[in-house]
Amino acid sequence: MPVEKNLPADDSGFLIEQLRQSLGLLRVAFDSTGEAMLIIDESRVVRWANQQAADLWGRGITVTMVGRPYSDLIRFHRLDGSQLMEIEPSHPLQKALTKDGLNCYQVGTQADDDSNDGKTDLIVRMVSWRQIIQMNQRFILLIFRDQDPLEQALAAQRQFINNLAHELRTPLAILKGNLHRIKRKAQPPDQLQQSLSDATAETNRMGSLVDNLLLLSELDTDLRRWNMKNGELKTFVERWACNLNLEFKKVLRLDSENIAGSCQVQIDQEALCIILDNLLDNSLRFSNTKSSIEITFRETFSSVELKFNDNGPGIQSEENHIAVFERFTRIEEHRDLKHTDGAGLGLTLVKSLMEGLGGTALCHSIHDSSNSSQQGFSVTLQFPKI
Amino acid sequence: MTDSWTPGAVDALRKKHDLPFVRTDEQGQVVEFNDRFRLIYGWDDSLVGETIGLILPPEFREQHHAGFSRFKLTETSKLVNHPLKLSTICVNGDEIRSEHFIVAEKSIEGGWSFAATLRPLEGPHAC
Repeated sequence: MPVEKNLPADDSGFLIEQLRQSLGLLRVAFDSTGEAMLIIDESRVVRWANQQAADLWGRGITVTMVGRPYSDLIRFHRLDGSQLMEIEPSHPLQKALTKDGLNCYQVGTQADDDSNDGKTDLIVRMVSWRQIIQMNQRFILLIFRDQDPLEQALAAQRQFINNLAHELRTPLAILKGNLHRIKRKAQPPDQLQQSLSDATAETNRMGSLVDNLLLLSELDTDLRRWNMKNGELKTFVERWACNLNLEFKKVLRLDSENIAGSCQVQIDQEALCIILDNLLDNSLRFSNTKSSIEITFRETFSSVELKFNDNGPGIQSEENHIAVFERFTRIEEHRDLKHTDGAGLGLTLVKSLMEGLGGTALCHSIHDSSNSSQQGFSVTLQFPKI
Repeated sequence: MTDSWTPGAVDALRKKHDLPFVRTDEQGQVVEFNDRFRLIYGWDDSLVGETIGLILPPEFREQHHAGFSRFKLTETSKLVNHPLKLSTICVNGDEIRSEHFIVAEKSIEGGWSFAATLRPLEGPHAC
């Protein structure tokens, strides 16, 4: 039996008074914090705001923000100042659909746009997002705060890497062009020919390292321009596969009959191609025997899974299944003089791109002690269903 | 701020006969309203003793209750003495966008009283 029914009228009045006091205390606490807070409902309307948020975007009065579309009050921008559209996967409200998180954005005020002839006053804020489900309704809590000194240092470091990678691209391109011209025009002796080939290979490797660093830096800072399209996962993968060289096509088996591949997802085709290229490159590098790669699909409650399985040696240590996704990680058990070491960024890029797409990347190894031919490495990519 | 409460502020609003007027006690329960309020928003005497939250759209009620409770603790509010554009619920459920002007006044006994004029911004009575 509900407690309220047993309460004398005086006690229930006291309880209500106590609840009111608690509510008031909470309000005082939320208004005293240095963080601006907004709760946004499923229709993207502001349901709740604290005093900091009102001071920044509501002319000081919280109640004037409630009931208004959040986009009437604030806009999210990347750190380079370009506006983030709500459909983009880097947008906090898109990210909040899959998991809680935190990132740095520039936040602009809609009202300022109107009053400054289109010029927006942008403020840099760390923004965290969290999905709340209350009484069958979904809300998103957004918390805005200043960057702490460590975050400022990290942002400066990322900016430095970004600038450096950009600056290295031009001299590398000149170097590549010159090496190509020398190889084509001059007739160097064999020994010099080998040196030229080595120099070209190393320049290419450095070029791809710089490209990967730049892409990672764009992903870290949410500067990547996503070109999201809706479609069947299988179709996106087939588009990637049909552009492969014949020798790669021969080792690849695509499970196109599986109905799970027909599930609709939202994907950036270019990002998917980079992901699959990296997985393919990894598989070919580590397969000692004739490579065999299989791509399968599986549908779960909220996502579509793509499994990329090869017949490579896999990884023995459980810890390394997490470590392979970290930057510049090369697994000791894979060190082999026959292989050229990669930079250790391939799987990092796969993970970062998948996170950027709102998905996840995990890996495991297949080991069958009774059958030595039953081995392999499997990467599972999970894409959210739409 | 507390020093912005002017003695007689509620009575000054009450005298604006051309505008709907409503007053609540410190619990936020309606104590009185004028004929203009009755005419424009349709409420009758049954509103007296009810929470003023009834004339606010549901999405504003959280802010209203929290703000009211907050006021009781701090005796400060940024809402008072400012024109505020908010929707007001009529007795038939219709919403009329109105300009609220809220004042607060402390009685000699220490109890608070809140009053507001509501200027309808749309509909036949818009002014």
